[in-house]
Amino acid sequence: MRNRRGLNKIGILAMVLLLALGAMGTAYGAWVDEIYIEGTLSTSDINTTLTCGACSPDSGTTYIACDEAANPTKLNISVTNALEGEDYYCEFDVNNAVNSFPVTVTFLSISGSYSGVAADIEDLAVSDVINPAETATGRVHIYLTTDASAGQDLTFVLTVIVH
Amino acid sequence: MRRNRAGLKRIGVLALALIIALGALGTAYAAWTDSVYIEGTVNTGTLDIDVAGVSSTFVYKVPGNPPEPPSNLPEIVVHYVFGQTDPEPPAGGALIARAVTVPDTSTDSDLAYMTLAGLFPGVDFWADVELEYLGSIPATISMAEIHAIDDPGNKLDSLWTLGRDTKDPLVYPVRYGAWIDGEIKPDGSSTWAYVDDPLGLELQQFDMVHIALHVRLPEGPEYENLSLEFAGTITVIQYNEYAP
Repeated sequence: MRNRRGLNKIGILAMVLLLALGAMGTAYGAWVDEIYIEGTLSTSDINTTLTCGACSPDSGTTYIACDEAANPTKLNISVTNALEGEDYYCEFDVNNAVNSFPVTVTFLSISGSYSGVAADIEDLAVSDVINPAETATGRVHIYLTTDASAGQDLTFVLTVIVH
Repeated sequence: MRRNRAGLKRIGVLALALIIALGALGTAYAAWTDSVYIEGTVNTGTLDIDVAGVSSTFVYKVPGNPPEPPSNLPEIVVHYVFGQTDPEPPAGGALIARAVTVPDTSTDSDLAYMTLAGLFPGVDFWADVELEYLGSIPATISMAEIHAIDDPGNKLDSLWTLGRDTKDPLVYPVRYGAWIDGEIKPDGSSTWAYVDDPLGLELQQFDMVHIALHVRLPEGPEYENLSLEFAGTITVIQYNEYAP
């Protein structure tokens, strides 16, 4: 009987201590202030593509065509039944992606050597800059300067390298 | 019987006389006193830190530009500036990457947004918040953390670990990854002093401190064209409660 009374007293004491500690918890909360930061981090890369544009003439008995090569820096250009006095044009596009760097054209060439045939690249030159989300359009111009290659099928490879 | 009554009468007269005498004494015995009254107020100190400004990094590609510090990459020009805009971008340059902080002015100067975009290897990107300590009691920076929001599959998530692992200059001549560092300018000083780790930095009223997120990407195609969200908290606590 006496033990039970003692336990009651201990219980009350424990409860009082708990309440006191709770009150102290509030009193001991240190002063703090906070700054919050939110953000995003994204990286980039050089992301350009070289694609064929419109060709002219693109049909009939004599025409020019463009095909994309396995190498992404090259295009295959072909003239069927080349004729003297005819101008053959093929446009090509260098597209720079939105999240890419600005790029500079560092190498531009068209291979294929035929007697009496000229192949020029127009509207795009080495050192030209293409900014992100922009497309630069160049043009290949092929024509016969003599009739040495008249009636032949001609193939060329256009190479465009950007840095 | 008659004698008793006369005795009582005398006692009554004596009591009355004593009462009158005591009444007179009461006035005569009131001590001389004077008082001073005090009024006042109790003001407690304050602890308050706010975003006062930002610093940013702008990276340009300038065609034909020779390599120049701090990047030494051809055609790359890096501007570290106070503020969220570049007052003097290079002529003919195209902005290709940036690390910019924008404070949120709608939240009592306690929130800022950082955007680090177009990052690539070879350039140190630095974005920071400039904090001013306005509290009246000394305070200590008890937390300065900026970390990726949980995205374990993202390669950029590893930048914080990389930044910690390559910290020792005796072991790693170049530190890569993402980490926190900063600068402090005590009240009255005109120069900023570099702080390797802001944790534990004690601040007095009107001290200024930069808490910066520093990112240096390692070489490697696995870091290309990725995006990651991050968050951070900078906490100051009353200096006597700081436990390192």
